[in-house]
Amino acid sequence: MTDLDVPVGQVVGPGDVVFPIPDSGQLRLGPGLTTQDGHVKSLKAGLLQQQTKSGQLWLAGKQKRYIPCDGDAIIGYITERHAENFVVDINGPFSALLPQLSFEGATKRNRPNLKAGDVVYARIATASRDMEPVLTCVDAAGRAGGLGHLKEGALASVSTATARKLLSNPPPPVIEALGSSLQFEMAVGVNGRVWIEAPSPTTVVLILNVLQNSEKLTDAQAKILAYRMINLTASAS
Amino acid sequence: MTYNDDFITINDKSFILKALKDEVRVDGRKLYDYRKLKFSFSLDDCSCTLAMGSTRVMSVVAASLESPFPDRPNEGSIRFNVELSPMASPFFEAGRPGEEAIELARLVERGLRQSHAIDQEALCVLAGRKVWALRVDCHVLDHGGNLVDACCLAALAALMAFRKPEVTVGGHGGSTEIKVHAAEEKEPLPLTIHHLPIAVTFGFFEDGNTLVVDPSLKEEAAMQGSATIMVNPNREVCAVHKAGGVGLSSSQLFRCVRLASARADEVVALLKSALDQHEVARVQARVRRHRESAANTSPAVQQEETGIFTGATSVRDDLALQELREELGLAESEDEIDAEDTAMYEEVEVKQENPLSSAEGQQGSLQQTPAPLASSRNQSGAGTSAHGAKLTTPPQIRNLNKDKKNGHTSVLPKAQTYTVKRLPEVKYYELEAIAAVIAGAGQKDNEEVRDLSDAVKEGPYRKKK
Repeated sequence: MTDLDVPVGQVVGPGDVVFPIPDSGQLRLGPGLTTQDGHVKSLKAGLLQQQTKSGQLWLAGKQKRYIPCDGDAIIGYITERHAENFVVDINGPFSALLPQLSFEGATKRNRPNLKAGDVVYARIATASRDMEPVLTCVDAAGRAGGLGHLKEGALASVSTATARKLLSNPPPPVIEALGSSLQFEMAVGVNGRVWIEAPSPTTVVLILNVLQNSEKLTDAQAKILAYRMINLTASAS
Repeated sequence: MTYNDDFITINDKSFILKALKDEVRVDGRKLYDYRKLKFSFSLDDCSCTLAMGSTRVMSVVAASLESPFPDRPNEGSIRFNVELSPMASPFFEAGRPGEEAIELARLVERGLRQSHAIDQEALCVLAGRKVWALRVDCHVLDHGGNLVDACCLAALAALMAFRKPEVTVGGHGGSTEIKVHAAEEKEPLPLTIHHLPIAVTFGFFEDGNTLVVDPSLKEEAAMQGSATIMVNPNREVCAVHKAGGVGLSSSQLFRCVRLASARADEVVALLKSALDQHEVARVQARVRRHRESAANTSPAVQQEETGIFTGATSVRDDLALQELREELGLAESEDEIDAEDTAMYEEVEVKQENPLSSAEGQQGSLQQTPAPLASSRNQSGAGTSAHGAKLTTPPQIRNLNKDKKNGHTSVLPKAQTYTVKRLPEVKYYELEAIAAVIAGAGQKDNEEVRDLSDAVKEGPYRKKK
């Protein structure tokens, strides 16, 4: 739902009062926003944005370090395997814990066959300031829904803002440009990681480079970059 | 040999190997493609920052006078140090250099010092007593892979750009006095470098069957072995480093040497052109520095000067630039001139025209109208200044010389004659001429100096006015 009093698109600094909490209605706050004394305050510098689907408000600031927030879908890689859980690196201040039973169809006897170095697409179940975040690879009903182990493919690092932009609906022009002539599979983690898989390695390399170089470009420029690179590789091969 | 403990995911590693089978690398390079090099030098002649793709290294050279080693009383010393800054990679920690940093420093030292690239005997000042001890610190600012190549090249570039202060040794009776001259007194000198060793690193995959040059960060984590070859453009191998990792056959190693040799030629060409550009900027800065110091000295001798710029001692430099200031003082500090000065200038403005035009008929040498000089105030002035100012200053204007309000004496009329507010582009041929003059490259006699002023006269500046 949209709250008409919310100044979407406004630039705020850390500690700024963004708007007073409305008396009625629902308010979804995402990363960078918190409530205090009846007001919504910002935790960092950024642009106030609102997700169209869920109406979630969040601050878009350019940063590479990821601060975990409940419900975010992230890409992490396993660094250690313990008895009951995996330790996963999510490009944040702490490593996250992923319980071994939080996979579709996992039981005590039937544990997932993952080891250090494997890449997983997971959702943050709980994130707090003082504790390690806990991940899960199933939704509330116990189904995977796209989460879980990502096989093959390659990873790219982008800033968190770019990652959120890639997840927006409708997809940004650069994704449309790439999708118009290439066939690939992509998973975007809001922690600034993108996973790409395509039938040929050249396609993967092309997409990785386009995404990494489109950080500082506008939408139109990124689209042109994508088309140019596709034409170059098509003419070269 | 890997310098990083960072994790590479199974996906990335297998992807890199799969892509290499198609001869494609993750950053889009081909197997034998190197990343772009970008040098930037500092104007204080002691450091160089090298960017090789996303790897950045800054190298600083410092020199101090110390006692030599007892077994080598005629040689100076060079020490190399590599600091892996925590801002370069999350896996570097602050504190004492670890194993990786020491290994890097040893490699750089092997290539640059033990191959006798730098002449250590030229660093001797007073045999057995005082020698120059150089210290080269390489700070890794960003780790994007291939730190060996970057550190070696940054250290070499810094040593080539480094200028050591001029030293005079004087002795009276029993005591010897060593005077180190400041950069403003005497131009500092470059080091004696015999040859230019360039490091080239290779990464090996598939049990040594596939090799890539200039590995990036992920490739370094995925590779099975690596080798570094240091070659100079004279086709001499200065160092070979292969520690651990997959074994190589001799034919593979020779292939690496050939590739490294080709690369060394390219890199030296790039380095030399970067140094040439830096030299231009250096001379510019030096001329500016001289002018500022000249503005602060009193123009005692100016009236006796015959207007011929004969040599490059520092006193003459100051004079020449003082005269230059006189010529162009107004154009230079237009902002600072206040109403009072303006009034003074206006009254002499009209008169100024005549003397100058009559002066043109004089000697025929060294005549330079103020306008062209103004437009080229920065550079050509240094060489041609002497000619202009002397001329023809009628007594009224002479009195103005006593006014040193703005730290300079302004003689010539303002703005009406000089329309240039901005500095034009520096012409390289002019700078060459100035540099030669400043460096004292031969005591120039009247003939040559005349040529210089004529050259400037014929140059584009004339047309500007």
